[in-house]
Amino acid sequence: MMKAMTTGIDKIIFMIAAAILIIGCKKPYNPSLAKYKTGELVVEGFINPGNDTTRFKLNRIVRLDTAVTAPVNNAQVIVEGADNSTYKLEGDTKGNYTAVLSLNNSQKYRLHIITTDNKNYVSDYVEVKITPVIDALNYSIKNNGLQINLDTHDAANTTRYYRWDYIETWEFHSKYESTYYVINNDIQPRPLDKQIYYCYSSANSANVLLGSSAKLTQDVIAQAPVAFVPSSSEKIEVEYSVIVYQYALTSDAFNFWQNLKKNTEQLGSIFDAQPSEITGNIHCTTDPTENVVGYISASTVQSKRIFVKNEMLPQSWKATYPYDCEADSIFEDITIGGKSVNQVDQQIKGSGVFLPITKINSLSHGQGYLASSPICVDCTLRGTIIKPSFWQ
Amino acid sequence: MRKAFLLFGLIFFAKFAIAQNGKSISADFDKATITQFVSDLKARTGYQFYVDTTQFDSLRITLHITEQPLAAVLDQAFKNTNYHYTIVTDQQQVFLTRGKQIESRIATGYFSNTNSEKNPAAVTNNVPEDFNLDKERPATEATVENKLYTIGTASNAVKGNVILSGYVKDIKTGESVVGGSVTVANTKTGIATDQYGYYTLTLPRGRQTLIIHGIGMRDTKRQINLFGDGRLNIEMQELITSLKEVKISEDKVANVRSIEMGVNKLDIRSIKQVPAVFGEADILRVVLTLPGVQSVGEATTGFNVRGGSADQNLILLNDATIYNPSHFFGFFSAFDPDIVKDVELYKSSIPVKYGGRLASVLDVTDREGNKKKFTGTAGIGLLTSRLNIEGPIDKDKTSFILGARTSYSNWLLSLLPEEYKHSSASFYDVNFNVSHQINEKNNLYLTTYMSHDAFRLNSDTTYSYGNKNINLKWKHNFNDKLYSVLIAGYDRYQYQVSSNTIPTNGYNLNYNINQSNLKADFTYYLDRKNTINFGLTSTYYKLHSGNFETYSNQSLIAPDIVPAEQALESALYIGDKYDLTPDLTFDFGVRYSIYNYLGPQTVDQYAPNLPRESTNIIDSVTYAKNHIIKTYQSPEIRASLRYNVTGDFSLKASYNTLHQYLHLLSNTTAISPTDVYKLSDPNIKPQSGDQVSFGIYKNANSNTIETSLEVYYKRIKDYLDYKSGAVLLLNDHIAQDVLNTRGKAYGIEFLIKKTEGQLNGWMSYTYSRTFLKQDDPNAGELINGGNYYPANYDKPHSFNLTGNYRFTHRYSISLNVVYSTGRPITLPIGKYYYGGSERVYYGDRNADRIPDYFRSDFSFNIEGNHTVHQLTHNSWSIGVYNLTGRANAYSTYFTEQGGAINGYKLSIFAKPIPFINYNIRF
Repeated sequence: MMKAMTTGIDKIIFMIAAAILIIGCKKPYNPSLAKYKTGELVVEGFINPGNDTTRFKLNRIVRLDTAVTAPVNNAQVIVEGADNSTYKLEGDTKGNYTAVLSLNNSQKYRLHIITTDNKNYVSDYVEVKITPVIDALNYSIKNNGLQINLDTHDAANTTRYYRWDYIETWEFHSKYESTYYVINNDIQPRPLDKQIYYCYSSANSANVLLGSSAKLTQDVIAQAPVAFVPSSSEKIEVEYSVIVYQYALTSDAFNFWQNLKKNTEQLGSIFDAQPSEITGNIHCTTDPTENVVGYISASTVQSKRIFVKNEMLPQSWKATYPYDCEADSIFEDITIGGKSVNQVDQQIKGSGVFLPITKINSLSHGQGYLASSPICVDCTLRGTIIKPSFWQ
Repeated sequence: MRKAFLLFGLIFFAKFAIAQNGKSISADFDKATITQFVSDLKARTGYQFYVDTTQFDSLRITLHITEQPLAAVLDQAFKNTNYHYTIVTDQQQVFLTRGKQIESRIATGYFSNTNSEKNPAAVTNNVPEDFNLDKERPATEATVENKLYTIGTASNAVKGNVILSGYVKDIKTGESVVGGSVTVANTKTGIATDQYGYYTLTLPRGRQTLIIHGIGMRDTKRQINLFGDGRLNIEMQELITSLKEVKISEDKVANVRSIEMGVNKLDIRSIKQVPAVFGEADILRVVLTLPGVQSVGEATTGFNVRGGSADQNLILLNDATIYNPSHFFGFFSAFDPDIVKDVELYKSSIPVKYGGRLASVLDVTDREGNKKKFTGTAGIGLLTSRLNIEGPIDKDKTSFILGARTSYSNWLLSLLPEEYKHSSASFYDVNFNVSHQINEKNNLYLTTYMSHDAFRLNSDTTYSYGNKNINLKWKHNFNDKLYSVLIAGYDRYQYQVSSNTIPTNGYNLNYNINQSNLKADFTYYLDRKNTINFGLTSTYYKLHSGNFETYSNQSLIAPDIVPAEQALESALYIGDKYDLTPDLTFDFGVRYSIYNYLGPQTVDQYAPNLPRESTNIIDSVTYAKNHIIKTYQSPEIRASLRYNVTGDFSLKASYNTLHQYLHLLSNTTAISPTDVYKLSDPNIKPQSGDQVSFGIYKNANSNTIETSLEVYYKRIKDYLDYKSGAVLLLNDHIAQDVLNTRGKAYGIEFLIKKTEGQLNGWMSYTYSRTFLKQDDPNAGELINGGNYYPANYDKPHSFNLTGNYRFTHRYSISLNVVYSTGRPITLPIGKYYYGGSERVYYGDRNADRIPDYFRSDFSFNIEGNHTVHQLTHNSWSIGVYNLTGRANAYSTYFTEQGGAINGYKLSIFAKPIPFINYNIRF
C-alpha cells in the first residue's frame, strides 16, 4: 500500500504535468560513462531445500553502454549449512550452477563462492522459509486489459512477505494463413502438419512482484495483481495461460527486492527516491570494500496455473499485429519494361522474400499467388507450433 | 489637555532657565563698542555672536555686572534700545539685530504671540521633556509637505537629542507602510518602518527635514521643528501608476546602510511583474530569482537557501509557520498574491528573534485591510480565480481583509486520455485578517489562513493536505522608546491518504503536525546609539506521525498508530544594535534555545558504539505524560557589523549559529506532501549550523543602481540522510533508518539592481557549492565511502535576470531569464540481469549532473486607463513562459522496458506556454 502511495504520487505528477497543456515530455538521454569502471559480482538465485533444482547464476556487472554479458564460470559454488554440512553445485559455461540439495528445513544455510582469482564471497546465513500454497489465481477484465490476480494466505501468520514470478504462455496466429508452401522448388498445398498459422510462445515476468501483509491483522494477500495483458495484445487472441511461482521471503529479503524494484522500475518522476546502493547479503571476504549484488534466500516454491480463452474476453478487444503487413499479388507473367517477368519464380520460389498465402488467377498475367513477408505469414519465426505439454 | 501641559511646562520654567543659563558672567564695560562687547562676551561664554556691526555703530555700552546669566547681561545692555538679541542655546549662537527680533524657533501660534510681547530672553524657556516621557501625547498627523510641524513643546535652549516616532500610513487606505524609510535630509540618519509601519528615530533638536520613501508610494517629505520627544504620523499617497518600477529594496540606500546582510525584500508589485507560468503572480518563484536561492527543479515545493535543505527554511505568513508553502505539488505557491504585501528573505544575518531553522527565514506579510472604504480585486486565470475584499469595520480604527482563491482544473483533466480522465485535483485557500486600533498605544491584529489541496488519481487513492493557521497579535507602545508585540498562535499541517479500491485493503492514513506558539518581542530604543531587541518565544509541538486505520469494516488492515510526539521549544533572546559612530554599527545578539522532548513516549536505547538497529536495542523506556525525556540547549550567536566607507559604499560582516529541532524525513529529491516531520529525540540529535559571511555594497547613479557582493561559508551538523530502503512512513523506530551527515556550503553572490527609470529590474549571479558527508561510524553503511558528495541542490553556477521596461504608464514588458548548472544526479553506470530483467547499477551518489537549465519568460502588461475615479480598474497580463521552449531536464532516469535499459530525460514545461490573466480592482 505504501508502495501504491508513492507510485500514486508519481502518476499524479505525470497527470498534472500532462494536464497542463500536455507539457510533460520524455526524451532519450545517454550520458557518457567512459570514466566508470564496473565488474562487480552479481549472484542470482535462491536455495531450494526441496527436491527441485537449486540454481544460481553468476555474472559480472557490465558497462551500461556495452552489449556483452559476462558470466562467471569455473567458480566453486557451495551451499553451507550452519551445521557445517556442504553441498557443491555444478557449473556450466554460461555461469549457471545447479544441484538438487534436499536440505533440512530447520537449519540455516549460506552460499560460499570462490572465484578463479581466489576471491571468497560469502552470504549471511538465512533461514528456510516454507511458502504457503497459492489459494487461487483468477482473472478480472479491466477496461484496458486482462488482469491476473492472486490470493494466498498463511493461517500461521508467519510468512508475511511474498515474491512472485511467472511464465506466460500463449497461443497466437500470424497475420495471414498460408495454404500453400514451397517444396522442391514447387508450390504445393500446405499439409496440416506443416501449418504455420497457429503457434505457441512464452515469456518470463520482467518485473519484480512483491506483496506484504505485514500491515494486516491476518496474513492474507487478496487479489494481488500479478500479470497484466493489454487488450490489444496478441497474447490473448486465442488462448493465454500463466503459471505463477510464489516464494516466501524474510523481511530483509523483501527490502532487498523492493529496493531493487525502486531503483530500476520506479524512477523517473518528481517524488523519486534517491537511487540507493543495492548490496544484499553477500560479501566479499577477501576485499570487504568490493560491492557484491544479490540476495540469497532459502525457501520452498509454490505454483499455480490459469488458462484464459479468448471467448471469455470482451468481443470488442482486437489484437494488434506487431508488424506492418500487406498481402501482394505475385504473378508468373508480368510485363516490366517490355519483358515478361515470372515474379513467382523470383520472389516466392527463389528468394523466399514472400510466402504464398493463397492461389489467384489472372487472365492477363497467368497463375499467381497472394503472398506476404514471412513475418506476416510464418508464426514459427516468433514461436513454436509444438503444443506445450500442459496445454488444455 | 494642551493647556494643562503648557502650564506644567511653565512651572518648570524658572528653574530650568537657571539650569540652562547657569553659566554666569561677570562683566565690566565702559562705553564699549559693539565689537568690544561681543568679543568680550564670546571669550567668556564661548558663544558665537552674529552681528551687523554697522547697525550698532551708534551704540556704546556701559555695564557693570557680577555673576549673571548671558541673557541678563544682554537684557541690561539693550534695555530701552531698539536693539534685540536672540540666543540659540543648543547651537551656542547669539544673533543681535536692530528693530526686529529673530525667531530662533518657528512655532505654531501660541508662543510666537506671547513672545513678541515678552522680553526676548523668555524665548530661552524650555520644557524638560525628558521628565515627561510617560505622559500621553497625541501624535501629530502630518499630511502636508510644506507645513512645518512642531514636535514637543517649543524651546530652543536645550541641546541634545530627542526621540521621534510614529506610524507611516497610506492616506487612502489607512494601511501601514511597511519597510518604508524615514531619513533625515542631508544626513546618514534614517530608519525603516517595521511591519506595523512604525518608526522611531533619535534626532538632534531643531529643524529637520524628513524624507519618506515607501514601496509603491510617492516619495514625500516633512519639515519638522523638534523641541522634544514626540510622535509624528505620516500619511503617504499611493503611486497611481502602479507599473512604475520594480523595487526590491526597502529603501534606495537601505542595502548600503542597513546593518543586516543577506536580506532581500520583495514587494508584491515587483512580484507581479515577473512573468509566471499560469499568469498568476507566484511569490516563491520570484524568491527563486534571488541570489543564493536554488530549487531542485520546476514543480517542486521547496527551495534551498545557501546550501540548506528545503526544510531548513522557516516560512512565516504573518508570523505563522507554514509547513507546506505550495499547491498542486508546487505548481502554485500557497500565498495569495492579492493579499500579500511583501516578502522578506533572510539568508545570512538572521534576526535574533527568529530561530528553529538552519538556512533562512522567509517572512511573508499580508496587507492590512483598507481602513477608509470598501475595495476589492478579482483575478481570472486559466486554472484559478481569486477574489479579495477589504474595508473598514469601524472607520479608521478597524478593518478587515479577505482573500480567497480556488482552482477549477477538473475541466482540464476531463480532456485527458481515458487513463487519467477520472482523476480530480483541486485546491483553495482563504486568508482573513482583521486589524484594530484600540488607541494610540495599542493595536490588535488577527490573522488567519487556511489551505486545502485534494486530488485523486483515476478513482484510486485520494490525497489531501492543508495548512491551518491562526494568530492574535497585540502591539503595545509603552512609550516612545519601548514597544512590545505579543503573539499567540496555532499552526497546523495535515494530510490524509485513503484508498478503498480493494475493500480488504481499504485504509485511511492521517498525519498532522500542530504547534502552539507564544511570543513576546520587545524593542527598546535605549538611546541614539543603542536599539535593543529582546523577548521570549515558546512553541509546543504535537505530532501525530501517522494514524493508519481501516477504511471500512471489510478492511483487514491492522490499525497502526505511531504514538504522538510532543516537545517544547523555547528561546530567550536579546540583541543590541549599537552605533559606535555613524559609520560603524554592530549588532550583537544571543538567543538561548532550550528544547524539551516530552512524554508520554517510549524510547529505545541502543547499545553505545553499535549501529542503531533493532538487534542493538538494549532497553526501551516508557515515560509519563509531560515527563521531560531529553533536553537539548544551546546559545546561538547572531553578530553582524557594518562599516560605511562612504555614503553609498559599505562593508558588512556577520556570523550566525543556529539550531533546528524539527527534521523533515524525505528521501525524495523534492518535498512531497506526504513527507513526515520528526522531532529530535534521545536518538536523533538536533541539526546545527553556523555561517560566516562578508559583503560589499555599493550604490551608484544617485542610488538608482545598487550592487552587492556577498561571500559565505557555512557548516551543518547532524543533518539526516537515509539508509538504503529506509521506511519513513509509519515507522516507530525511525532512528534505525536514518544516518547523520555533516555538510559544508560556500559561495559568492553578485547582485545588481536598477530601481528606477523606464528600464528597471535586477540581475544576479551566484557561484556556490554544497557538500554533504556521511561518516557516522555507527551507520552500518557509508555513502560514497564516507567522502564529501554534492547535495541534490548543488548547482555551482546560477544566473538570473528579471527586467521590466515601461513604454508608457499603461504598457510595459517584463523579461525573466534563468540559467543554472544542472543539478547532481546519481548515474547508472552498469547493468546486470536480475529478477527477469536487465537492471541498472548506480555509481557514486550525485557524481554526475543533468544538462544545464535555461529558461526565459516574457510578459506584456496592459493597465486599463488611468482615470482615478472609475468603477473598476482593469489590467491584463499576456505572456509566454519558457519562451525558447527548451526542454530542460527536470530529472533523468534509467528504466528497464521490455528487457532493455533506456535513459530518459523528463521535462516538465518543455514547450512555450502562453498565458493570459485578467485582473479587476474595485
